[in-house]
Amino acid sequence: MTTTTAPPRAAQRRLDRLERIWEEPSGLVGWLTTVDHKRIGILYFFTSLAFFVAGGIEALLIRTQLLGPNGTVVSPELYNQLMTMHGVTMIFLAVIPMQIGAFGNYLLPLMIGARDMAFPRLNAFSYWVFLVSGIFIYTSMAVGAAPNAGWFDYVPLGSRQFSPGPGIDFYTLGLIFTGISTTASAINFIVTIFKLRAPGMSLNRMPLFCYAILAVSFALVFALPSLSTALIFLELDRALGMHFFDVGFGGDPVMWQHLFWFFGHPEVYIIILPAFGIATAIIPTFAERKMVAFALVALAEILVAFIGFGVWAHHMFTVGLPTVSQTYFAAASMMVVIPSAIQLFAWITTIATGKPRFETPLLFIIGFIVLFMIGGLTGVMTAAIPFDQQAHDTYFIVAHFHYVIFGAAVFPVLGGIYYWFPKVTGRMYNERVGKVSFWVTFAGMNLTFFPMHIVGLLGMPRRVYSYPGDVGWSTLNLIETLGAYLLAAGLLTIVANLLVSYRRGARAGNDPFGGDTLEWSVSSPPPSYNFPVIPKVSSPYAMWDRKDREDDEQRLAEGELVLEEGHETPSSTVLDADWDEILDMPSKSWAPVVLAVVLGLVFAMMLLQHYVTALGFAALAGLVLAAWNWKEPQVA
Amino acid sequence: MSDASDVTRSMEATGAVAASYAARRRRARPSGWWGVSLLICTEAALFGTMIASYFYLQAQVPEWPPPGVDKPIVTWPLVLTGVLLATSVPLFLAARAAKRGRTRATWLMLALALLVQCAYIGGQALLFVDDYNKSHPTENAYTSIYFTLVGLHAAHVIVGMALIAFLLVRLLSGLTNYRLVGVRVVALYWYFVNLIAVPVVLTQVSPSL
Amino acid sequence: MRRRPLGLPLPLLLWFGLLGAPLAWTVQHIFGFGLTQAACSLASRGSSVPVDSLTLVATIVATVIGVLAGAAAIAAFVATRDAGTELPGARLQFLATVAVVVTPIFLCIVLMSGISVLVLPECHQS
Repeated sequence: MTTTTAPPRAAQRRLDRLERIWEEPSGLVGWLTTVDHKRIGILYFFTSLAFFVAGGIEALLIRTQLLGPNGTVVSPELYNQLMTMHGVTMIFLAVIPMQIGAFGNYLLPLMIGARDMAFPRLNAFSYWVFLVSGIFIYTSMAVGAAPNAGWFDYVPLGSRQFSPGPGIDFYTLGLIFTGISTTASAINFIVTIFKLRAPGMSLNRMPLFCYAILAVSFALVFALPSLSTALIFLELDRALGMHFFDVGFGGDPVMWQHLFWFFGHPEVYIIILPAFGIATAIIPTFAERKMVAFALVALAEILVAFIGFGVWAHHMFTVGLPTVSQTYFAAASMMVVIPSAIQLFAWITTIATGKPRFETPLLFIIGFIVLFMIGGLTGVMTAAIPFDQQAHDTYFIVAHFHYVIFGAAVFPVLGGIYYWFPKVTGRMYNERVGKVSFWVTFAGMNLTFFPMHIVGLLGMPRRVYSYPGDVGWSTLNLIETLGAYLLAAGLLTIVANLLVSYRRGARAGNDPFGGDTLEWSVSSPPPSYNFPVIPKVSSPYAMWDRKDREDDEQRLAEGELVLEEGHETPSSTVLDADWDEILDMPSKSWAPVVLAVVLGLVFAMMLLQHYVTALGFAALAGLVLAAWNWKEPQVA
Repeated sequence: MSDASDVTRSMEATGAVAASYAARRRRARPSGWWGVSLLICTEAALFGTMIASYFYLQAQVPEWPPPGVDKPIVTWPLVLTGVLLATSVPLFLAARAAKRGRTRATWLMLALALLVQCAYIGGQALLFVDDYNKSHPTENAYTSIYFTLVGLHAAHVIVGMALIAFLLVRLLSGLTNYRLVGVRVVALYWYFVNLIAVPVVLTQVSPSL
Repeated sequence: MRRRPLGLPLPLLLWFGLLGAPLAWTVQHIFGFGLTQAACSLASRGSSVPVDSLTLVATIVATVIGVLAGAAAIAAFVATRDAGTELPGARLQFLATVAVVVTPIFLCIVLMSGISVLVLPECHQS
């Protein structure tokens, strides 16, 4: 917890100059043309929050329909759309963009001591494509034709024959579209981590949150193309009459499952890995000690992503594959637990051997640890082929993945929102209400999802729109629905706390919690240029290296490493971060948002099967891309 | 640690000599190189899953191609692929000339590559029309995967040609660090497109081998 | 810090130790999955594919590579034990620690799947 003294005049002149160079205009135009990673992070935050609310409303409608037997709250047709959109929204439009788009974008450059991402305009483009593709997908709901074949849309149910309307086309084209955003983000993160780390931040001195982002980004780069292939095949089948998945013409519906799950399983690790990163950022701060087994935790992040590519067919254990094929996946599915266990062990030991301060962010992380253990255990159970063949497609699986998605991804996100709220807004949240919001959310979560284990083992299948009253599932479903409402109340408490605190919370200094990473060394909120001086780094806990941070002040006064001749940030070598170049970063640009809108038109035309017009818009997109690259970043 | 005076400000390199100097002083590969390499990873994964799907579908049926569909021709696709692979040479020379600050040589090598690629895509179009007359893509799973795989590669070639055309236009106004990196990364993209052509064409003609 | 443990350059040992076992597993996994799928598919009816012998070969090769990678990792780890906090020594020590832990995990997966395939009846569906 530091106090900043007013810098001497030379230093102040430098700060003013940096501010002039990096400041972006306020107002609508400023936000539409922004390339500042912090603004883009905030845009991502509110957009993914809106989609999270939409997904949550869909969930509450589902739970209300299942409140009692033979429910009539929604029709079966609407239920199928709600159930599908809940999955699609939460995974593609809420949890992942929140973690990598909001947290990743805002924090990564700050944690590595850089002034922006490697490709700022590409970053903005990622956001606008995310927004436009999300609107594209939700247009389906507006026209009453949302996709309705489940979030993984198995064929032949998803084929033209059995889903004749445009719903599945919204799904295929919408997800290809959204994939462009995520791929661009992933590439941006990797290059930023490789090239823009502050000089001296070698691989062994990079914060663990950055390892999580690195792992997630590599997973996205290699997993998304498989989904694209599946979606391209399906759309070609549906729109042009091809036969990738038609048995009668030599196709195979199981091929959809292979292609989808080769993407789908890494996707669920993509959902959870940034959350692990958030946990490893919060724990050292509140345990007031360095993370136990730093190298192994860094490794574990990467390993989960890597091994996760080899387990996809465990989603297909009941499809009829030969046991000798399934075996490879059962083995890998069991061993993928090891890196997760390494991390759990490290987290728990760090908290237990530190001096833990049980404030709201840490409470959410402890809740996450408990819920992740439960979800992980049911995961190991289902890795065993005989058990999975009984539990597959029952509510047991629904319980498992909600424990890992809600418990292990959303809980750290909630903790992270509390943790970095002071940094982003400059205000402190209310700690007492924070603790209450944790307990209500934790109780609601368990009340909703724990009974699903039991009702699943009692035989309740997934995705059913209602159930009969005489099979013994009614009481458990009632509890789950009440739990869902309690959970919603907990989440609303969090929102209320933050909204009120934004207006009336106590002013937060640079470092209210005693954080260990570099974002805590700058003001709250950070200046547009992030760092007045490029920080010197000697360890992964840069904020706790007091000598280095004092040297920063000295260097500002002397003008060393201030890089104030333009939109500048250093570029270094990959392994040891030796300083190699000074890069000039681009400033505000219209090209990203315009290109995203033009691409939206391309996809809309493809949806309507006006392919020639789509090609025309694609050519226009090419021109916009040319205009984008026409303006080269130059010295300010 | 080095100070600001002995590290290059690469974006200041707005002329051929300065750009070449910056390129030679750089110790690590530029950000653009990493960005395009990762793009290549995603595209490689895309082609990989499509090629895997081809052989997966083949394993599901007793006869491949299915009865009623001609086996693919071998000679012309392989010849054309050889022609395409050869364009890697002028592209490599263009990238090397750019690093040496020789704008005119860069431009000529890129133009040569583009010319040969036009001949290639013309030949591919003729082969496509020939295939299309023999069987329609919507006949069965074989024709579906065949046309999609070949079409996907052709789309990558066309995009690459557009990238070269863009560079040719920009280089008319001289060489900067930004454009130098652009030449390098477009060449890198093309090395990938040319290399991946080999497994694609071998898959395409595999029933006749 | 020793620059040439076992007479080989340290970076070579380190990268082999780090990547050898994961790559061996990747190849054995893809090969094994492809092999079992091909052997049990419609297209191979009438021809018998020697699943067990090919699986045995793949598993042995992967295990040998994994064990060699483990030895390289241990050599690199021992050589960088006293690296301190200066670069590149600290970074090499960090990677060597990672390499030593990575290898046993992948060796386990290779052996688990290889042995199971040899034990289970071919093309049987459970």
